[in-house]
Amino acid sequence: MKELIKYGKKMVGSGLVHSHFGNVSKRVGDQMLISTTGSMLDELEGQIITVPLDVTSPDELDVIASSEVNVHRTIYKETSALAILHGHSTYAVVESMLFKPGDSIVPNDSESVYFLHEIPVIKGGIGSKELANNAAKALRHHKGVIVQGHGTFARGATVDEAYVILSSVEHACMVKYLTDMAVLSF
Amino acid sequence: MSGWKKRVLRIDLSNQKIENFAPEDSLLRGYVGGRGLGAKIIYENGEVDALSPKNLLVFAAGPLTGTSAPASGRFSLSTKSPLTGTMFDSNCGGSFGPSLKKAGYDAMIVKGKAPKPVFIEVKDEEVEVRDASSLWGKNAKETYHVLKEKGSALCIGRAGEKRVRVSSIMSDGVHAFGRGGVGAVMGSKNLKAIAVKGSGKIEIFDRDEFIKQRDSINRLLIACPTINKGLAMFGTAFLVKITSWMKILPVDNFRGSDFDPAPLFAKKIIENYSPLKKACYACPIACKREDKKGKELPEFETIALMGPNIKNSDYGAIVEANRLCNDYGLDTISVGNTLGAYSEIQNRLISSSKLVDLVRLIGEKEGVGKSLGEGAKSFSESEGFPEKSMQVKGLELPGYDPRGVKGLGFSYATSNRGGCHTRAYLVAPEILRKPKAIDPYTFAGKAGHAKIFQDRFAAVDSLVVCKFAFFGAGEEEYAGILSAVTGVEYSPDDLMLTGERIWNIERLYNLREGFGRVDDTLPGRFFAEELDDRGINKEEFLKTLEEYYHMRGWDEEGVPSKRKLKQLGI
Repeated sequence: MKELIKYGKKMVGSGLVHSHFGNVSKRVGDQMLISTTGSMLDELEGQIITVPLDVTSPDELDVIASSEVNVHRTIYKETSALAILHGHSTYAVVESMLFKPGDSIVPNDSESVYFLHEIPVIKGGIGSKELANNAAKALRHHKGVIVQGHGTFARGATVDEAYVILSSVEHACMVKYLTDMAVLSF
Repeated sequence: MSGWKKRVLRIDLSNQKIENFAPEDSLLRGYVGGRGLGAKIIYENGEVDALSPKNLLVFAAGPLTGTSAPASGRFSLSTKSPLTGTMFDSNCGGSFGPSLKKAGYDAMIVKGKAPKPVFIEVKDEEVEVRDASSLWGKNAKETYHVLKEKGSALCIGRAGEKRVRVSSIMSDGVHAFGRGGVGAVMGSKNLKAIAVKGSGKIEIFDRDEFIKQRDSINRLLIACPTINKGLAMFGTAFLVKITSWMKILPVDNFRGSDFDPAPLFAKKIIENYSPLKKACYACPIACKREDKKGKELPEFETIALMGPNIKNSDYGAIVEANRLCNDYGLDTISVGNTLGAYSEIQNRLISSSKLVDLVRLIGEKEGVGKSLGEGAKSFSESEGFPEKSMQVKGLELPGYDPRGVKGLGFSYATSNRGGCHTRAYLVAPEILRKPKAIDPYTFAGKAGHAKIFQDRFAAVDSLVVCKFAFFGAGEEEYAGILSAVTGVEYSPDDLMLTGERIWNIERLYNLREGFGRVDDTLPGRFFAEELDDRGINKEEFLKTLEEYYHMRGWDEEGVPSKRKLKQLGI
């Protein structure tokens, strides 16, 4: 729980997201710790709840869990993820709108290419089954995915790793966007 | 003006005079229906004793009642409460409201006292006051069973007959006009039941627009997580786990936190009972639950007050106590809360079998049940421990500890009908985070939240629509559908102003009855005792009260200014 609180603060503090724009979770056995709906990422003390991981076994606390709770569940079910961070990072959202769902963004900076290879762009409404399935499918083979016009889902074996991925996706998108702008202006 | 029937039925039981009158258009436009219409009529009836023949029972539907507007199956009852002495409205599901409307009436006003037990039978134009001697002495389920062929029926059980001050009126056997001892008012009139059968239709001004608005609201309701992940999935019992997680579930008469409520969680109930869903008229939510044999299962408030509040984790005992309450016509919140005070004063726990016995004694007004049935305030005073009653203005508090939900607590204190969660229903933003999460642990901003939500739900109770619909939809959608039904253009602001008008007329009534600033408070326990490091700072509370009065346009004693009343057209 402390880790989620720590990295929620870092997500906001580092400028990756504004306070309300995202959610965080961590898998613990057949349970999942997840931030509550409407909570502020930099003030998660007392705002983390525990719900079952099984997507077929809804829980009363789902009502106050992040609206993406079933997206997190599906990702845990379909991938090896043990932590998921979701943030509406600015450049990732902008880049996703320059691509179509099904496309992949190929970073043009060396570190992002090395870590991420490519970043799939997917579609799906907030908290929807479509989004859950598309995100889980893409994250089987990638560490980060961008929901078009919405934001990034990053997975990791630890919360720290998921944070690195979330940061990398934003970094890659920023570099790509600025490079493309520079090219256009010449 | 469509939607309304423009006809009110008035029955004087003292002389069995039955008449109709047409309410003025301005009255319907300004007070809409339901609680609003009832408030205006009760205010104008003047000062009366709650159990005297002069008190009125105003059963009122709204312009949406009887249409397929989502969650519009509820109806309203206004009267003077024998429990609180305040103006009181109660709100009930089932099908009585739509039946009354289809019979051709917006409302039914009952006054006087019959010389012997009677029931009222309405069949469209035909209205009769009939002998109920054979029904007197029967409980609610048996009475309903006898009357159901006559249409939708509401009745009192033995508790109402005996004028128990925490008694309810039951509708269609399982739905309750709860709180405030409204069953005792009916009993004081020797009125056992009312049965209504209606065959008419509700005129809709713009059917195409109505269907568009209705479908839009239904989509919002179905998409709302509080509804699709909570109410529709588990019924209201889903709140047990959430309030437990927030540490606001009342334990041991709002004294402790040492209780494991896990056996009472909704998921456990589903495992053990495989409940069936039940819905009120025109409701897509279907929040009621019954077991396979058709026995009603308790709502959240009942579980909270008859469970943790008396340190009881035997769900089966709560089911039986709930069933008995419904049969006697007893309010489960008031009963559970009063038993919390009883347990504290006696300094001993209430066993499962004792719980059921005590409910029976309250219903029969026998033994200790006689004083328990007077409610927590009266009972605790009579035992010499007035500080042990957890109530506001005589109405027992529901299942949320105000120390952990400050806005909701503040709305208990300022409620016109006493300690009630449904007046402002800040359960939505403070607990369920809808329409937007607000911090439950602070008073900051809560004066404004209380006012806005009180006005909002006074309007909602006048449409009459279930509050649960407002998890997903809002004033905009319901102003739209109201305009489509009536042909009168209502904006969201018009609805809010209507709510404010109703709130102020209720306040005026209570001021006339002697209530004032001193009554807008909480039990001393919440100021004096911390629980889980949470308390209520009295100065902060009083500052919020000042802010609230100011926002309402009331003076420092909580009296509405002439300017405010003029603005509201009162």
